[in-house]
Amino acid sequence: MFGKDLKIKPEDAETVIGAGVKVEGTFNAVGDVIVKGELTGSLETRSNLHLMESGVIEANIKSQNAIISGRVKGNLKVEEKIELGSTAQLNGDINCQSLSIEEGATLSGKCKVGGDLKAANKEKREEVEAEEE
Amino acid sequence: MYFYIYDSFLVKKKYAKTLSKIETRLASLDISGHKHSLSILKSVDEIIRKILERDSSPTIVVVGGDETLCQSAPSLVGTEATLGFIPTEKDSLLAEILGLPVNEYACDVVSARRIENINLGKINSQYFFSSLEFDPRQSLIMVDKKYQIIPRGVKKAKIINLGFLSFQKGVYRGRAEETRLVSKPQDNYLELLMGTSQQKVLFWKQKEKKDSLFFIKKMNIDPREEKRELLIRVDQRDVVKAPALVEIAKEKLRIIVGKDRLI
Repeated sequence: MFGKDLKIKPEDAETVIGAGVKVEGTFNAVGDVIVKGELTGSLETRSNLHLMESGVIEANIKSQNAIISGRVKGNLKVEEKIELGSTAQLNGDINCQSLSIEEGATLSGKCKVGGDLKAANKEKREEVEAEEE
Repeated sequence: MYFYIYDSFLVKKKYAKTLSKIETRLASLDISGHKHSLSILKSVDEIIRKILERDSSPTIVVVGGDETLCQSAPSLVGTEATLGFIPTEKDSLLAEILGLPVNEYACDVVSARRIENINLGKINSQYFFSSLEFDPRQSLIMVDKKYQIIPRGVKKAKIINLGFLSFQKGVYRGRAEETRLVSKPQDNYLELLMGTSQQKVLFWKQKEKKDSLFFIKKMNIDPREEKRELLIRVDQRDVVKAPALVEIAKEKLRIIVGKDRLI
């Protein structure tokens, strides 16, 4: 029970924005991001976003997947799937491959599901990486 | 060539037998070398400087506790020297992370010379090996000049290069349940762990509850109020006054690790 040791590295670990902090600005992460507190500005991760019930985001979001249980004011661009939990309140446009909405969730904005967003994002990322090289 | 730096507390009589066993084992492994003992008059920095004047690529082995290992590492960053460690304290956290057994058993690990190149952290112009601690309530924290972290209830902040990130996960059957993560000093990131105080659970030691965890490359810590002093504790020992720039040092440190290392 005690002394469980785990190696951590940014690629497979989770950045946690806890209930005890607020983040303001351009937030870019490599691994999963869990938001229990507040974030304003913009958020981008190559992995998954978990917005917990206590979490509030006022930002445009880009991620691979997004599981939303808290409040979002901003546009969501997700490569794969968006899951809106029963407590989710989303005020903004969403763009993703697939979408699931649980009963009780509120969504106010334009919705684009399907299309070739993943390929477009991949192409854009490759362009950026080529420029960086 | 091997150089051994003995911790100042090893002059105590109770360590005589341990030291004798260590020296016998070193001799049998054919890695004996020059011995330097720390004292009030002889600091680690001074000893290491003299060793580096004599030999540009020595193997410097600290015999003793974590604190002396933390003090030795900054003087060796960016040099051709290799740092080894023979822990003499059973509760050495750094020994556990580096996969080193205690006392004479660590001599075999030193002899095997399994070397890792690791990062050190830097606060202003000073290197740090393990961690920094400060009060986030008195701080303005800006990360990579991109985002600001505004504390709203967290009471403790720790920036870790090499060490355990331990915190209370919850309470299970009346006992405080602890989780430990190990910060990896080869990943070019520092971990910023922020926590809230947790109430004491029966007789169990109070632990902070993890609130937030960030992976950072560079951050600025400034005092929230200009007139109020903000102190940052370096490696549980020195103190640096904010404003401070904290980042990963470009230079690496060569360190001997065991096969059971956690990094």
